[in-house]
Amino acid sequence: MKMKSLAKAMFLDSIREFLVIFWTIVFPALLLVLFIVVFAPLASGDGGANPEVKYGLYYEEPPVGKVHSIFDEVFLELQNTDEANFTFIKYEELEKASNALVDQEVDLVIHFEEGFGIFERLLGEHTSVNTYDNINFLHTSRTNSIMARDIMSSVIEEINIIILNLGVEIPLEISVVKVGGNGGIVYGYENFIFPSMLILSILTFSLFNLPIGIVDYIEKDVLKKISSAPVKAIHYFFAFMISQFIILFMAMIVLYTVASFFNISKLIYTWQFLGFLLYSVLTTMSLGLLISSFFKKTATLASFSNILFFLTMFLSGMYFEVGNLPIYIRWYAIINPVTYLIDGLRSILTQNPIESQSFLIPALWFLISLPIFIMNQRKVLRYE
Amino acid sequence: MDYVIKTEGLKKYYKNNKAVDGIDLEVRKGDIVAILGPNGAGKTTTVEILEGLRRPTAGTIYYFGEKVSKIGDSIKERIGVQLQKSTFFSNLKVKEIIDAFRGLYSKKISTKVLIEKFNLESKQNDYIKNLSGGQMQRVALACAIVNDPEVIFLDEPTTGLDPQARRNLWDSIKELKKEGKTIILTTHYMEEAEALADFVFIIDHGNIIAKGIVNDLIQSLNQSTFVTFGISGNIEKFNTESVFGKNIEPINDKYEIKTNDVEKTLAKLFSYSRENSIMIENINIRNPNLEDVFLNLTGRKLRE
Repeated sequence: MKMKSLAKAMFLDSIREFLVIFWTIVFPALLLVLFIVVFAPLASGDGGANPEVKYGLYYEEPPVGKVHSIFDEVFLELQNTDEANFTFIKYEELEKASNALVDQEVDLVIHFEEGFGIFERLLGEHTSVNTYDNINFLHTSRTNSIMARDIMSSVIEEINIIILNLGVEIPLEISVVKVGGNGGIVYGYENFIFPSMLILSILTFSLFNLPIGIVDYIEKDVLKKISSAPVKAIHYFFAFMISQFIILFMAMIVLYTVASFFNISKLIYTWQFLGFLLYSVLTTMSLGLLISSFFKKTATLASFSNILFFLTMFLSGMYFEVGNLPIYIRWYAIINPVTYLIDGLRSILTQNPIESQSFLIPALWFLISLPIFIMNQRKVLRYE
Repeated sequence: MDYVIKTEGLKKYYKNNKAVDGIDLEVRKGDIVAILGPNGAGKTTTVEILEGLRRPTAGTIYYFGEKVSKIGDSIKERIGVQLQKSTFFSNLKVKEIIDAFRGLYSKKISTKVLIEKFNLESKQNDYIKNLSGGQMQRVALACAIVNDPEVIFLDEPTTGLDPQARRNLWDSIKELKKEGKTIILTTHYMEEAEALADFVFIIDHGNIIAKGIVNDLIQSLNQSTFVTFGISGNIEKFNTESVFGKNIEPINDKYEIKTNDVEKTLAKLFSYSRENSIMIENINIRNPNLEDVFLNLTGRKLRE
């Protein structure tokens, strides 16, 4: 009853604060819409200048003859186009080409199977054979890979027209193989940015709402007044946490509602995704509790939280790749728990296994932060 | 004697500060007790120990006739606290804030009764942050008695209020006394203590320097009435010592005469002023008060 009464008062107090509502609920939802509307078309190849597309070529048999020269011509033409930077890399072994694809060194592997030369012979003999299923595309679920696959599919269609003009009605057919993951999902920009917005909301809750709320109630003597009533510190703490969790839950509901209007993977509704989201909330929350232990004034805490928030957000891979950053910045991305939480959420959406460090590093932060907060709880949660 | 609160040798020491240094308090049931002293005297620390907000360094506390080692929930259920700074959840409405505090106690007065009692009907749906100082203090007082407490602590309840709001709050406090509540009030306004208190503790530097009924304390001074006045006209002729000896003292641009016979002193003053063409103006006659008690004990004024 006491906790319910306190939690209700704290919830109303927070929910009526414009800054809390805007930054925790409205801003991530707006940003999600903005990112998807503006950047998703660019990422899928409908816009943007000179995208870089790398193809890996693997021939089971040495390429010879007229068809080979048609392909060579087309590849050369693509390399010289101004509309995109096409690169073609030849591989001696299919395994090496596949590895390059997984390592993101190439976006698509074009595999010319053994017997591709038969086509050359048939071309001269005007055979009655109708199709040849001897070109394989190997792609991953990355946006660039999907884009490379679609471009090359169009190119093959063009080549088919050239062949047709030579008087042969034997179209080339392609089989498509997805490498990595076991489903047929397409990992679009929407799926890349959605976990980022969830984490943005969680970070706002953890680095602003929680610590500033705790310190603000001490500064305004709210804690002192409550301490004069028969209320235990633990009741006060849990009432506060419940009030803040309700607000975060509302933010999640809004983000999921926005997501339902876009082409975001249904995997966001799976227990695995929701479970890892809860894990993200709990581990990031401990950071907020940790910093609330060291500040007595909301003004200084807010300044610190702002710096930490931007560092943590931008150096986490939330918006861009952080693996290639210079080491004097990259160290933060390495120790940043959010880097691993984002990776974990994205792994679920790409149906890849969550790497152990996605659990380990945030758990380490949790295990460091929580005891420090508990040691300081007398100062944080009690008047004296 | 039926004391609801009694302390013996209550101490609260910080690193370089003896905030409370051996205070013995006795608070009788149904009394308004004022703890009077300048800022930093140890008033708030003393009541915060009694409210269970601070732990004493040493000393014994008796609550409702029993020695207590800690002010636990059972005592907190029976006391009400109004803090010096009354800022609650700023985004809550008056009714909501009273409801919130009601939810913290087992015994409770209805929100409607509290709102009526403190004339907050027209403000019950207003946000706390939009209230005036006087309205805010009335809400704070309502929150302090949500549990129908036997003892109410009021820590400088009228600081910062205008005279009208202050008098309104005094009326509310007197009403609570009529209901049989015991009230412990800290203040640095001697007129507040004089207007409300049955018993006064004057503290300075963490010690009680005087205690007693207001009139007894003032009479213990054995002091005269004060006649204060200003002069104009032929002021260079005004030779104070020749007329009033050592009983007159210049205070800023005025003079103050201590006297046991006001009539005779005034007659003497007017006669002297006529003879020397001096104009006497702004005459004020006042009896000694708690300020004089404090001045007499410490050599300082309460608000210095």
